Amino acid sequence: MSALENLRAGKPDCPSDFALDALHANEAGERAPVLQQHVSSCEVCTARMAERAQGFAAFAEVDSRVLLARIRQRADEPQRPWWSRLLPIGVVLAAAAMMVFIWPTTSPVGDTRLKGSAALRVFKLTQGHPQEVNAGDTLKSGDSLRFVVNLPAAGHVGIVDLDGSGAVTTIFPSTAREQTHLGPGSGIELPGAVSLDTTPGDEAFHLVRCAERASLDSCRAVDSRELRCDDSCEVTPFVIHKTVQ
Amino acid sequence: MLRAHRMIESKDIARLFDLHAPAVFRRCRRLLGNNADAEEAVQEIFVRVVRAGHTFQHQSQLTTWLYQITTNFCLNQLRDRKRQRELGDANLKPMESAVQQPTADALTEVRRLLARADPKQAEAAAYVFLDGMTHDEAAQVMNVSRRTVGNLIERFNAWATGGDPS
Repeated sequence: MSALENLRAGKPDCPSDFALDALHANEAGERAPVLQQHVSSCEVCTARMAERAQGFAAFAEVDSRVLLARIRQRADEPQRPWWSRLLPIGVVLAAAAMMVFIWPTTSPVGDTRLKGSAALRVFKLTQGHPQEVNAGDTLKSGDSLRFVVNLPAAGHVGIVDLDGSGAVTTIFPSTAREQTHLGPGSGIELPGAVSLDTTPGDEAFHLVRCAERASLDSCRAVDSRELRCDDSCEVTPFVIHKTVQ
Repeated sequence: MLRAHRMIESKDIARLFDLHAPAVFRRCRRLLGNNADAEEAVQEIFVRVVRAGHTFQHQSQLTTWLYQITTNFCLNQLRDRKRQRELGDANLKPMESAVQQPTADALTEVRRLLARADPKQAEAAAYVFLDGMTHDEAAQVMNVSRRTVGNLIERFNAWATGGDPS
């Protein structure tokens, strides 16, 4: 099986990908010094470790912000019971209807939410009707958006936009008088709507949750892809692609 | 690091993602052969990580755990019948990388084999042939003995060269 044996990265005497991934994650334990020594003396493995150090920058075609935002979004969705995938939709609906009828006080199965995971949901208004947007979706300039948040705990909440030019705009609160302290809950709709402008490039909306209202003003653009706020704030990005009409 | 009996918090998700997701993506792309499927796989795997955070056993290392669930997820994808049909047509070019890669044909062929092989043998073969693990490392990740890994690889080789998989 020599063909198979040539598939691995590195030379035959080089550490495996697993060993280098563990080393990169600081999980190599007692093997770390030996691995480090090999890497420093091996050109191939120096390149393999350099690729790991780059993170997603090594994959130019992948937008890691979109990927992370989708993971957050999906992780925050209510979990469906495992058996629901095995049954035809009609049977599931009928069973669900019966469950509601027989046990009207029982909480929905899918109501489980992750504690500690704040989530931002974005809705596009199409002829007055809200349509949920997924992270990574492509929207047009002029599209009108509204924001809904899920909060595991109370805090001062803001929505901060970072556009493709690196400009930071606070979408919520829109005035200094607007109430920003929100209690825990899911599906909290924020007042107002915004229209996407004609600045080209991706648009990253950030849900910012801070202990103090003043901290909401701390957010600054590191560059056109990263927003940094006060350490006491939790920042959850939501990236969309924008086309200019 | 995840802690037992505790949900993963938002900042922890970002930290885990930054540290581990590129490696998971790299493996998924290698196993599945294209970016789109690899991105889907990373999403699915990290949603599982976030949701299963409270059950993660602290004595195990996250890299090991991620290798296990990534391998299982990708091998299941490869086994999917529709996917098997598509394998012959997909444009499975090796990814661009600073690190030297095997040829597309060789990777396509090994994906075909992994999709059809006995699941346990395919798992061992992915670890040893694609990840370059030693039998000791594969045994650690698979929670089996080194000897079992050797047997699985031997049977996989016999089957792949026209012998019997069992």
